[in-house]
Amino acid sequence: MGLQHTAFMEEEVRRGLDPKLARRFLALVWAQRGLVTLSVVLLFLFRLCAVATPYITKLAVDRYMNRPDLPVGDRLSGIQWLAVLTLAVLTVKIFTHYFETVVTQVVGQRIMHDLRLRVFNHLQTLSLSYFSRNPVGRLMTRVTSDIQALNEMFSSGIVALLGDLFMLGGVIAVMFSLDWRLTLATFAIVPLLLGASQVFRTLQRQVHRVSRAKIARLNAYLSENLAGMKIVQLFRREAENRRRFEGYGLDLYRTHMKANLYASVFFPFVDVMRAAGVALVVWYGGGRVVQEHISLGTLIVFISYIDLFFSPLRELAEKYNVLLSAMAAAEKIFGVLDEKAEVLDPERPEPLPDIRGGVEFRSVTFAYEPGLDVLHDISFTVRPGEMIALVGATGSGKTSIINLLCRFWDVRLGQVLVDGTDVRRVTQRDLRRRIAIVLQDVFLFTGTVADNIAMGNREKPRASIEGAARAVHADAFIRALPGAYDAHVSERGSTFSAGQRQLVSFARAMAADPRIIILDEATSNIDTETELLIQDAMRTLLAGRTSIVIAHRLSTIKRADRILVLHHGRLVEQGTHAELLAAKGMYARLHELQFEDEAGARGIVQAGEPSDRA
Amino acid sequence: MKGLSLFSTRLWRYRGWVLGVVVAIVVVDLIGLIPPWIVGSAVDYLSTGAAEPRTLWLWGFLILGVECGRACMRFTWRRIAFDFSRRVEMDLRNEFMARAVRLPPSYFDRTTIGDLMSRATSDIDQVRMLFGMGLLTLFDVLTIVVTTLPILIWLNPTLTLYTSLPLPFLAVICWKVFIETHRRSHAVQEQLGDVTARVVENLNGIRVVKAFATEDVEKERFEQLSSVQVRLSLSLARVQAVFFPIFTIVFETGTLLVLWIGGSSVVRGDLTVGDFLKYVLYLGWLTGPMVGLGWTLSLYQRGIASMERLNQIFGLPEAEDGAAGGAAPGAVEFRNLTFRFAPDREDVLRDVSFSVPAGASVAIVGRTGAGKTALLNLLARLYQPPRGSIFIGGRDVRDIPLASLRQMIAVVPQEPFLFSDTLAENIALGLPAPEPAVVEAASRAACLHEAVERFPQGYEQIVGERGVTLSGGQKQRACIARALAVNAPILILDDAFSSVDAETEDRVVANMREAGRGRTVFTVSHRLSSVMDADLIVVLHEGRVAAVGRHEDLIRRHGLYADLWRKQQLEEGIR
Repeated sequence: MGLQHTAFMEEEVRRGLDPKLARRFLALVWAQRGLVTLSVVLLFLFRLCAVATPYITKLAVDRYMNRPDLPVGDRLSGIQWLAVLTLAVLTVKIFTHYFETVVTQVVGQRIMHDLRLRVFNHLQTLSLSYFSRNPVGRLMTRVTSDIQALNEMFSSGIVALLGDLFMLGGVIAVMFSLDWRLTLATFAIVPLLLGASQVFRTLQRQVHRVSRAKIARLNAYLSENLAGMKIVQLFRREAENRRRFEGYGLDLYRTHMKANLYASVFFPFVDVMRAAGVALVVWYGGGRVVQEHISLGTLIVFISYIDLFFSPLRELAEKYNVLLSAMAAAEKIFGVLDEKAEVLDPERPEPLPDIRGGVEFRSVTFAYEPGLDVLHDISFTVRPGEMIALVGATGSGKTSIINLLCRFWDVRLGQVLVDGTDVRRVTQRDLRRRIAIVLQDVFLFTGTVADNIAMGNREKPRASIEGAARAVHADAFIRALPGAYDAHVSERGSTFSAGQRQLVSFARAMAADPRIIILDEATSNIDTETELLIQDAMRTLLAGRTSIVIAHRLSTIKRADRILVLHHGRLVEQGTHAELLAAKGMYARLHELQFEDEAGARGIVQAGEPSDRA
Repeated sequence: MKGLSLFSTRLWRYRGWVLGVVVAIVVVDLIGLIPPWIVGSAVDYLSTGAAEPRTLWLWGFLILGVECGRACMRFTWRRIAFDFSRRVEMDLRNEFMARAVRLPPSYFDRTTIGDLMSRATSDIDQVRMLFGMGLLTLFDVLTIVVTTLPILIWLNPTLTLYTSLPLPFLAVICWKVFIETHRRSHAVQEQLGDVTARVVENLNGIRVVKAFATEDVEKERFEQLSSVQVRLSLSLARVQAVFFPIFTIVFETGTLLVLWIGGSSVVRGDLTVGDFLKYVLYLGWLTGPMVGLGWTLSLYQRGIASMERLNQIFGLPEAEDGAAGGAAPGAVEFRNLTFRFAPDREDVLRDVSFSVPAGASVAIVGRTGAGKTALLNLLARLYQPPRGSIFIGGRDVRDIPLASLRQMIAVVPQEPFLFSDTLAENIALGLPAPEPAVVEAASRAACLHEAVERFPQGYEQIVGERGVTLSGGQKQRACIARALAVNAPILILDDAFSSVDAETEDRVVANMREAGRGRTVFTVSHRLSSVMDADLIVVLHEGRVAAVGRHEDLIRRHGLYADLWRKQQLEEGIR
């Protein structure tokens, strides 16, 4: 099945800066407070230097350049002294700037790392029900792009810009101390500027939201096509799918153009406002110079400060999108972190000692969704070492029983017990360590074949891995691979045939050496020859272990100590093959149906198709 | 530099746009030269002491007027430049998709979706930035240098000599930083691809992770990748952080020199205060874009790195197409077909020869890994067979255009794949338009119709992650319906019934037989009983044809087939 085509439907994020969100984000920043303080200090020093340079120029003009009344020698030495001062300021500026940038990035990267791990680790704790509701593509975005969007915030210098805003306070103070009238006159344009910024930000936010959704749709479509490229080509959909993709792209392009239109009006407008500021200074300030209320140097410093004042505002507006994306991303990331696992470990888990492997279902009723019970009042007991075959049509509840035993889901009513202990009273980890499952869809991880068999257990000696593989007759084909057990498995094991994947998954279960084994339709893709090998391997694997098998093959069913027949979520019959045939009930009918008209050629004791409900 | 030529080729393609950007920015910058001059002159006017306060508004008005003109140009410039960069982005994306659909499917076996996606998103983004802000700033800097420098020289040649002295050093340092940034940003991008791939894999396999309680191992593996990401990003940041201080050194040293030398000139009466101010303003005018240049250089580096990564995709060989001209379906012949997936792998098929008359039903049987799927994939040319090894209607499949070939062949793949779209769209995938009648007929033939009727929205039901989740059997039957809908003369069923129960399989097979007389059908199956009626059974063993014949012949021959049959009989036999 394809990836996240419909991810674009994702509810888009609320308003711009949410104080609650900001607080949570600040909590992350707080964890780095040492470095943050350092970067703030560096930023402050750096900005101080930026404010100081024009002021030194002012001093040069007022005290020495524009003072023909003083002796030339004094004026020249004064200027030299100011040049030395500038040099000092310059040095500080260079170093503070460099270290400020680096420290900010370190802070950013640490927060990203922290957040990335938290999201990933949190995902590992969530229940399967969560994953069945949320497409992989969307969850992946949380750990990658969304984190990256936050990272942008640190690397784009927005943090420094926020620092700039604080610096503005300093600039304003200096301006006031020089001449409050001229300062007020200069600020006459500020309300207009702020108003325009407000309008611009509102428009920008709207358009940004739309474009995010369109980007998501576009990317979902692309990734789905990449995943299903064989089908695209086999059904000659190349042109049509390209056309659709280009349609989504054009749609997005138009939205971008709209966003650009707003920006194209706003930024030149800001420039005009800046010019208006300079014009005001020249006109009003010039008058005050003539009237000798202020010095020429003051006029010059005012002109320089207007730039210091405008460029942060400009840049902040320019990078506002980055801030918006970051906030939107943060909200989604926190959304995942807030997600509660539905299947929880008990607060005080009981230890699960080396179990013997007894399983009991006690009046179990279960539903994936409220109101839709898929299992009704199921009770049965499995003695340690016993082999049970589950038989029944699609939706009869076989997979659900397995899901409950592994505690992927929790029962609605009743109890599932392992060795007399309710599975809800031990940790999921302890429970699953003692159960191995061979799933219908074999999933292989990138890494070596040995890694896939050991399932990440690095302590597992190579001998036991190879032993497990040998036991399920996977050894021969693995040895034929280049690199044998160290052969690389590519994404999802796509270079392996279905049968080979199955063999590896058998070896994996074997290596786990569990007390309880669950086989879920593991036989469907394997040819007869291999199947016979596996039947043999199964005997080894199941020997002395409790096993629950969703069986297709009559031989397997017949070998079972007991057969449980499920029908519409109810346990309708149980017993041995012979007993059930003699009882002439549902099993006998299923059996007859299969074997009378097929003259024994079939092995499927099933009506309807197997379910793949996870 | 390879990246550079990639960039310039692409640039040339958009020469009209680029010209627009250049003209607009030159005009904007030229107008921008006027205000400092006015301000400087105003100051000189003020410092004479004979200024008339009532004429001062004129100066202010002049500044504002010039700036308004400049704003109009800026508006034009932004629109052209940024629409252009989005345009480049869109074109690149379309080019990416256009290339992707032409890649041989074998390519997707060797790569990860995560990696491809990171190229299609992050890398295209980087290139867009290069064509947007990158290009803009570049021309901005060029124009400003070309125009401002003469003015500075004219104002004071000595001063300009000193202030421009550091420029060559700047060039050298930039070059070094340049190369380093390139290298490190490449590493960051690659690593990001790895991180993405890891997450996708973990999420896809979450059930296995949980079942084997290996969450801790997963966390540990992820933490390692994430730490590498941090390390690489920081090493990039350290180099990038050098840029701005370098520019500060160069240009603020200039300011220092201006203050010192220029200030002294003013004192000695060689320079007016107004000219001094002009000089400071123009120098600042030069500094701003130069600092921007630092950023552009890093953009340029990342953009080029990304461009190269994209070009790896654009440069991939397309799936080889056959010569033009139609082809007629007919007998299918395999002639001494030997094939391996990669030069360093073993042969999966060896010297396979057999022929199938048009309209026959063929069963391919054999053990896991015997080469059954490979054989059929070669027929559909999902992989490239050697020339002269597979013929349809007497024509080498390599000479048949892919489009005609695939029109002739409908495939039901081993692993069902549906798009997250409506069921109707999925079934009608191979049709020009989803015709309800055809969709329903195909769906009926595949025994899917009943199930569809139970869906709330019937055929308009979205399937996939946000829609209804189909069972394995339903997915397979949807794939069968999709293949039947195109009504192709050759049908390939690659283990197409593995999740479908036997009874339904028989019904579907019967339906197909009835509807598709004259159709050549290739079936891979592990249930020998389901293929025993085939006109021809091909037994593959370790990539070789072990036997060819009808069921009875093969049984009589006591070969591999008979052996498999006997075992299956034994194993499945009752009593």
